[in-house]
Amino acid sequence: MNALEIRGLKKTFSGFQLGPLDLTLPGGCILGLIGENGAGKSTTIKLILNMLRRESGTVTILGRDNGQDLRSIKEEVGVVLDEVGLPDCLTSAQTGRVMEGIFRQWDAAAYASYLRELGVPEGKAFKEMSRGNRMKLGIAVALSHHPRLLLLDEATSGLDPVVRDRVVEMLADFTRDEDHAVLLSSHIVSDLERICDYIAFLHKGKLLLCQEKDRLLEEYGFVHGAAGELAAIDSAAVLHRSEGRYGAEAIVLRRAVPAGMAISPVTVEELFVHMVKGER
Amino acid sequence: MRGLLRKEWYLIRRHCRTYLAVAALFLVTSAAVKSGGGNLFMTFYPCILAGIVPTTLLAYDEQSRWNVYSDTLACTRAQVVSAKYLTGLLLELGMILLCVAASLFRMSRGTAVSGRELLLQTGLMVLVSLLIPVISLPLMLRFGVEKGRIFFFAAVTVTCVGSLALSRTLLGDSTDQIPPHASAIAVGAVLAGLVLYGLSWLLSIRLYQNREL
Repeated sequence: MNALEIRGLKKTFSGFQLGPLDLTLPGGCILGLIGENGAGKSTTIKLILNMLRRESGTVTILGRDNGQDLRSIKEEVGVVLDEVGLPDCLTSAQTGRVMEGIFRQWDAAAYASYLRELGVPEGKAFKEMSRGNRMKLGIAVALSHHPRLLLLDEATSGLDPVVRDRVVEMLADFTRDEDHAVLLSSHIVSDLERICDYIAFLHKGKLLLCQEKDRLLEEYGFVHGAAGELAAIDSAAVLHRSEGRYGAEAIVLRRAVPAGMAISPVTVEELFVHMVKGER
Repeated sequence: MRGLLRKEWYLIRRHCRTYLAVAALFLVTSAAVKSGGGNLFMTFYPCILAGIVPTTLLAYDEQSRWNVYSDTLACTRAQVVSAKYLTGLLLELGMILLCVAASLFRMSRGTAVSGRELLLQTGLMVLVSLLIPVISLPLMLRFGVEKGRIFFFAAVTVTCVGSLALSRTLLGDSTDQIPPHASAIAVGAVLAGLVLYGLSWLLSIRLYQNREL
């Protein structure tokens, strides 16, 4: 079963339109939603949770329409927003007691264990915590009610590299269960490249692509050479091309590259940056 | 729901201490003063302060972005709204009981407060103090605290002017002018307060459910 299915999702604000958006997140997978600031990542997550009214389209979470009994759906969804909105005066222990009264499946022992593992300070009020610690607390809350789907909006930003690494490992562990899935939005592409099974590029509210990461990296490559050499490649296969004083470079579909021309691997970040440049 | 109420309690404990201290000061003073209708304001004021607490909690929610975050948790918007109204109602109930206790204390000291006056005061207290959340909560939940604050001040003004006008109309300047149907007026005021509170509660749920967060 797909953990998340989005079909024809659309939302318009003044000066910005998201969609129509189609995304599928299969169970056991991590989908990385990449986009620059203001691309529509947070709006997408808010629409998934019905926090904003959609103009059109459908959102199916764990096989159920998000318009029906959203409360029980949210029992199975863990969410971390770009700003964890806990009251300033709450400590981690008080947060646990509040959540215990909100989630039926709340697991106090798991929560304590996540707090220890992530090194969230005890006894400190939320307002006294650093952005990183706030995010860690948000992640601990999101994981402690045994969710099947995690929606994380810029959840790894603000974390130091060591903790970020640990969080990335935790997410990988989480999706070992094929019943679990993660939608992770970020503009820190290196994290997404490491753990995501699927990659979606969002730019100015439009979905540029949504594809399996490994296939994406297999299909595309970087070619460098003289401008004339690169002109031999079918223009339909060129994602983006730039020319400088010392030659030209392009990201292209590997199958369209003439035999004998050297192709180097491309990273997700390079792909994203060049696709966005191409759009502009 | 239990979790939401617990969160409100933590917030009250941390942020509303001043309100409670001022309320306590007024309660003690109103119990100590030896006069009849003259100290009606002192008797009413702690209840008005309690009426402000739900809107204060809402302001803290918006400041910390709890209003957005709570929408990702396993609770409905109706429950989020209900937590505010329930907290407000419990606080008001507690404060009214304290005010009645203060008035009874005054009566026990042989002041000019009569049983009918106390009954009337209590009825009016319920009505007047509930009017603040009745008016301000739906507006703040619909438009946010910033815009709703304008309406909130309007509500405070209406409540203060209303309470003064009511007290002058019904009590006059001394206890001798207590209206003949004081009991009926008191019961009517309590019922009106509770009905308005219930209607405001339902309206707030409806307005908040349509709000985009």
